Amino acid sequence: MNGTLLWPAVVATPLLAYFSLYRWPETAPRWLWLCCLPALAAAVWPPPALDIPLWPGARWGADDMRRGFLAFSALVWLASTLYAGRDRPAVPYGKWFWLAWLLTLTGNLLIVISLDAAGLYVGYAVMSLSAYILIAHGGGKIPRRGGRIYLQLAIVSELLIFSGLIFRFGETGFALELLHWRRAPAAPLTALLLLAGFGIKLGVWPLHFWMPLAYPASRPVVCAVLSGTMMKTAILGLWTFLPAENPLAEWTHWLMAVAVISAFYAVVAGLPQKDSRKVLAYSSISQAGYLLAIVALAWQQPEHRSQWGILLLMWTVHHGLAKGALFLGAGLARAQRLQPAHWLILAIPALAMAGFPLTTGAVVKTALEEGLTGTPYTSFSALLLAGSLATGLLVLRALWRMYHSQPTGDADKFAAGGVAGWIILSLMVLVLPWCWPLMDQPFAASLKTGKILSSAGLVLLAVAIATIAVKFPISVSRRSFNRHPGMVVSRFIKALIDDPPLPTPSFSPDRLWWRDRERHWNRFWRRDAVSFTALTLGLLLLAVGIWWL
Amino acid sequence: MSLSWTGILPLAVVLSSLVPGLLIFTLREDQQQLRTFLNLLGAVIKLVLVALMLYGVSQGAVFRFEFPFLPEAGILLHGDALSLQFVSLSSVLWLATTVYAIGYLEGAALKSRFFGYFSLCVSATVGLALAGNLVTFLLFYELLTLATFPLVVHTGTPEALRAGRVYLAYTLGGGALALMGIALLHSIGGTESFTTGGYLAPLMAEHSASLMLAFGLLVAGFGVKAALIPLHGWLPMAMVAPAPVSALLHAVAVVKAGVFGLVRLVYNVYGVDVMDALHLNDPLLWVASATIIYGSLRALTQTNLKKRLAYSTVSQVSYIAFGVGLLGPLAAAGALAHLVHQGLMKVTLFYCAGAFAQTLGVHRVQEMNGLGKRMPATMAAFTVCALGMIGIPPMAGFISKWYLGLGALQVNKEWGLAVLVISALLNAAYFLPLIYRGWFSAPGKEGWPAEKTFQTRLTRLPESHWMLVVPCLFTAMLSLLAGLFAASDLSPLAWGLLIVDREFQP
Repeated sequence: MNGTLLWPAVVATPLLAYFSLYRWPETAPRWLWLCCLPALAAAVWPPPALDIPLWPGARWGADDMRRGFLAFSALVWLASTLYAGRDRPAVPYGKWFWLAWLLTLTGNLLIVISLDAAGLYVGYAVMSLSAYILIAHGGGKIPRRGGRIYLQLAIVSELLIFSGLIFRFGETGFALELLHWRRAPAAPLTALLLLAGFGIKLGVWPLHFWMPLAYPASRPVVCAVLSGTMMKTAILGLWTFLPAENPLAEWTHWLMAVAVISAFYAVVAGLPQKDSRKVLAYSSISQAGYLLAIVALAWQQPEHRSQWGILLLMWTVHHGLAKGALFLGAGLARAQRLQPAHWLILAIPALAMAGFPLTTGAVVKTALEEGLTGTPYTSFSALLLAGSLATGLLVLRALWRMYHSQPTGDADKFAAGGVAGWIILSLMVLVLPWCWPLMDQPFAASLKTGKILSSAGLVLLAVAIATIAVKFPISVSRRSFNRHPGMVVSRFIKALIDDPPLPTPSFSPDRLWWRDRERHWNRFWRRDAVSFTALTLGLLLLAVGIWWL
Repeated sequence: MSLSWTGILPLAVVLSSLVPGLLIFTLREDQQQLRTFLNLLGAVIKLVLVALMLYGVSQGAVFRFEFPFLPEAGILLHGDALSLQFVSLSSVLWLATTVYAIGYLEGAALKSRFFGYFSLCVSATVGLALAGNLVTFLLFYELLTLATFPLVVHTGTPEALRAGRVYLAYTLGGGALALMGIALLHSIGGTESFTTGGYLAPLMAEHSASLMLAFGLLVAGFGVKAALIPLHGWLPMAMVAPAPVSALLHAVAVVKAGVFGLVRLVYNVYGVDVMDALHLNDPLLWVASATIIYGSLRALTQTNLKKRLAYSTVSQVSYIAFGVGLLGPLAAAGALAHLVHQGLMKVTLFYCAGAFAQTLGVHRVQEMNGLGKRMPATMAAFTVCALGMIGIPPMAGFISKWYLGLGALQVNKEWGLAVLVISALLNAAYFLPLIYRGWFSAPGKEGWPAEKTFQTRLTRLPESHWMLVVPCLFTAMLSLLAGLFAASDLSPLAWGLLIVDREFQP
């Protein structure tokens, strides 16, 4: 068998799997996780790229970056599908949910394996629009509101990316394959369009405002894929569409500033929140800041682009796995009372987020700190420490809220199969430093005594602060953070569409005025004006004629 | 005149709908089966003939049929790549619309009259597509006007009669302008057959003013049917016609005839070089851009579903004029692909609107709440095509927007991209609420305005008459496939690129 046929299988399997729901409506959801396996296989044994006879230039394959993306996306989707398939919520998932789920999965995988720009855009659109159903399918006021702002921004993001892409096509001389896009320089406008378009999906400040509204509106398992893999596709888009050469020149400092604000603002806004999903959403916004910072740093040092690319990939994988595990944990905590063993497992991704030694978190933070030396931002390593502390606090807050979100009575225990996916994700952040060759060097660096002490110390400090905060609670008004600009924007757009302030043009002539004109003319003729004029003209003509002769 | 098969075929394509049409006029009202048989026979024969021609043209064969008519301007039917793009669209959609119309008009009166004119309308469209020179084009253009009028006023209500009067006033006026333009061109340079790259270049030095005047007259004349502002007024009014007529009007026959005239005018009469030298394309571009935005804005305020779709047509058809006005190869490919894509998508939307109205009495946007539960298949078709209209990949509309955007950039008109993006935003604003209502809103408590139950032997789809649902699904699937498999040799885009190849690289 030809190995390249694996690529069509990656995309087609989830789509075809939908029809199994008609045959076995009860049992099929439990086995839908199987449709992530082709993607996983393609990540482990990537076959050569394949030209696809779909839209012009369609080509599927995986370079090193995409292999990493494919592997962790498939894993997060697999774990989440496993979870959702065994979940028995009060409002059952239903066919709509599964259709949207599988379409979103298809779109996400299509983004990752597309080697052409159009394919990436197709996948992006399929994923973004299907995810709307995932958010809003439950019905009710909050999902509707969350879905609305999500959809409005998704459309804006689509169009920004569309225009950016068209410009980029022009700059690359209409090359279809993304390989050629790395060398062609980009204009600042193109870069801005793409940054804004993908920034919305990434949830970076100040385009983040849909996230705290959409996440709490959706089921935790949806948050897991939204935050675990979907927001990461924005990073892949930015990285592959924009060139190695810095398109923003000295404006990169501003991009860096946005990234830093994003990283810290989200912590401040997230700490007072009550819904664990909302806290974790803010944590994702904060992490988006780090990812954006790495992109900005890569532009500052185009000669080290491959190293920055590796760091970007590592950070993406780390955050995707850890955040996916945390969201699934949050879902579990809402479904049943957690046992000590559960909390132990939940602590692993939490510690990874905070950068505890031996986890992927410590590895990527060490790698970023090492990377910063030699850039204009060497002094930012202090900020990085503060950031670690802040992330630690935010994650602790999320755990605290999860603890309080547990049902009080005896709830049904969650099916073991669903928990398995969550456990796999959680353990991955521990296993990965040992078995992923790219992580070897920073992992070794993170194991130096000083490093271990500082990163473990930060986590302990965060725990200490959190303990104090629990003992002596400070009441903070959440209102200032809950008066979401997103809500205002969303309502404004809705009002515009519902009742557009457009006058209906009316071309009906002013009949009275015209009648008046007509009468005027009629009267004009009735007077002696005509005969007088005719007579005068005749006499004049006669005079001219006589003079001429 | 030699009567080889390549000479006969263009005439046969026109006659394949004309003859059944004339026969249908002679039928009694109750000869239902014979009428249906004649209709479908004509549609299928036409499809076969067109397929034959498509194969021939792709192999480089020349199809020509002519006989003398005016001095120095005979009737010429000529099948080239461009005409086949339009002919195949109209013959495929004719078949689908015939099936749809049979279902739609079940139990209605005056069906022989309706289907007779229906066939005449398609014959005129096909003749216009195959026309090989301006005189022939004009002849079929006017025939189309006359054949469509009885369809617009078919219901005979005062509203329909008024719409018919407006339609006649606009289109006959437009026809007169086109006649003047064609006469002017005929008087200064004779009427030659349409040629790649145009035939007016030799006249440019001496008659540039006349050429500009004639262009203005012809654009105004064709612009009436293409619904360019400010000549679009008849189109939203004509939506009182029965749904199959609206579908045909908006997707294939009238609107497309106007815009197809523009395409012929720019590429095969004036030619890109003359257009460029006389700066004729800029005004066309401005009018088209204004129409794109204006149509979308007006669509946003409509509460009647069909009227909203009608204004959407005003906007979407101008994409084609816009792409033609850009005068670049990529934009031209986008425009020619959109000629087909827009047809497929809009025909589906009108089928769906008609099915909603016929089955449940849903006419207004507010009444669409919860349609997805009652008529899932129809609503799914509606969704696919509405998303395509916005330009969401992988639907067909995305491919045309993509190429139009690239085309605007190729000729250094970046502002064209802004027009496309704003229009897409507006499209989303007036289509997404419909989709939302259909799928996510709960149906009203008082039930549907006028629900009908269909009981035929063949009813397998419980939501409506199968003849209303199947055409929707068929054309929706085509518009999805046209986008998804855009790179395949059979796609409208590939055919558009073929035409562009022949046009821009003589």
